[in-house]
Amino acid sequence: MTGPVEERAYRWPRWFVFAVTLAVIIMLSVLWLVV
Amino acid sequence: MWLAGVLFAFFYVIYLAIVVPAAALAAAAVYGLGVPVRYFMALGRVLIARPAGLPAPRRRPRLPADADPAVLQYFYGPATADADQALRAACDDCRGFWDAGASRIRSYFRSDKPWITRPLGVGGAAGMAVGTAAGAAAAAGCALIQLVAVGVSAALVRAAGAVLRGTDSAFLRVKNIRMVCPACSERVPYPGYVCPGSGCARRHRDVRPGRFGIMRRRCQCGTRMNTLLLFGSSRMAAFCPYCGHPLEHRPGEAPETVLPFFGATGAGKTRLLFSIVTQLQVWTREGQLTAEFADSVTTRELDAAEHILRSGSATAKTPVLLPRAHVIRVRSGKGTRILHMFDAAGERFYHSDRTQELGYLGQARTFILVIDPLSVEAFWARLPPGRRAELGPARSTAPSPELAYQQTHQEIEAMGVPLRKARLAVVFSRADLIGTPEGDVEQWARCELGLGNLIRSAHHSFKETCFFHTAAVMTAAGVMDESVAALMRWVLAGDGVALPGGGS
Repeated sequence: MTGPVEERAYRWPRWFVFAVTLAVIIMLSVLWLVV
Repeated sequence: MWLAGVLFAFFYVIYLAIVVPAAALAAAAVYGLGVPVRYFMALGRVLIARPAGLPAPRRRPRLPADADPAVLQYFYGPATADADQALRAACDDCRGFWDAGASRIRSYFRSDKPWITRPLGVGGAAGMAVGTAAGAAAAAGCALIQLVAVGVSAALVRAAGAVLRGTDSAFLRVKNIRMVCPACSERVPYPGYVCPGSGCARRHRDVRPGRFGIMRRRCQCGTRMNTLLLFGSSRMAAFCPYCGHPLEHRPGEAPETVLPFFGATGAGKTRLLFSIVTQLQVWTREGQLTAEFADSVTTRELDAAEHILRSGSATAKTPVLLPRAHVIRVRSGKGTRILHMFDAAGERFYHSDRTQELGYLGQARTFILVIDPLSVEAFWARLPPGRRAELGPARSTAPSPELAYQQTHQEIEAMGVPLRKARLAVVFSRADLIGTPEGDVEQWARCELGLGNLIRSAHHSFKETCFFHTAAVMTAAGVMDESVAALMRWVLAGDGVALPGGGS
């Protein structure tokens, strides 16, 4: 666990990485199902 | 009896044919989907929920002890640590998930359970093995996607940082901004800044885009700081990254001009500096430009300049210490300029080891040589005895002005200043005492003062040399002698600054 300042600083980049990872996985799954 | 046995065997085979594949299929589905879902849950816990008790990442990014007191940018290490932490959390979850399944399967084989559950265990075990392998492959694929996302983001962030640094450097170059520390006179590639957070005085030596942030960085106290002059970092309190001295003149906002005064002891350098400052103040009062002391030390040392000139009292002897620049911000119609005027004691120009210490000479492109005509022996000898007695107290008793010139000239050259691009103002002081010569000042210096060698050397070495005869005096009505204004117009014209008067 990092300090409170780091936690605040990394909140949005972490959301970004999570959202991008999820979006790419969903996109690849959809592509795999369609193709 | 044997018929019952056959029937039982028949139905048992049917039971096996249905239960074993069904159990295997169910277990494979549960584990094939469960493992990647567990990975995602772990990822969500690490990246979003952040509960206490997460497994510690194995590789936490470390900073050198002398690094700036700022929070690392997420994609300069913490993102990889998070990926590692998510993987470890997912592994822990999956191990628990596997243990739960294995325990359930083992229970089907316990002696207290009916024998009919054993095929369930067999099918479940096979399905669990296959499902876990497939699920682990899917989870590894998801982890790979996360790592690629982190890697691409890190590459983009670094590229953005490099582009912004380049843009800022280009901006400084286009505006011809070269920053100099008034205290140590080092060329400052970029100022350091003090955290503007209340109660925080942490010093950040290099705020430019990098591992601590691209457009903004976060101090360890949590305060955000701009990373570039382009984004307004000059509004923060700056300091020199070499000597730590505060840079109160807001470096980076305007081009800076280094003006070194040199010459023999008692030549009138300090008085000339005072008269330049006073002339700027006169123009400010007249509304022709705005000149202000750019830091507290300059204010303290030059605030009395006008009073000293107006009263006609003598300036204090300059101490033989390394000089600190007097910094003045001049705003005229064409923009703003920051003047760093260095006034060193004349003793510093007689010995090369002392002159070498004047690092600011290497930063200047315009030099001001101050010569007291009375100190030239040939000129002094031609004055009538009565005049000599009258002017004696004002006369510099220092060695020949040529010595200070030659010594400084050699050191400037040794410091790598391209003299063929530099300008030299040769200023003969005491015009208020000996009067202004008729005609050309250069000709007067050559013929009357016998400084032909110095003049030839100056013309030969410097791109441009101009000669002035100044009277550093102010009348009771507050009018400065025009000679000072003429000198300033020439000095600053080299930097494209147009000062009032002079027919422009």
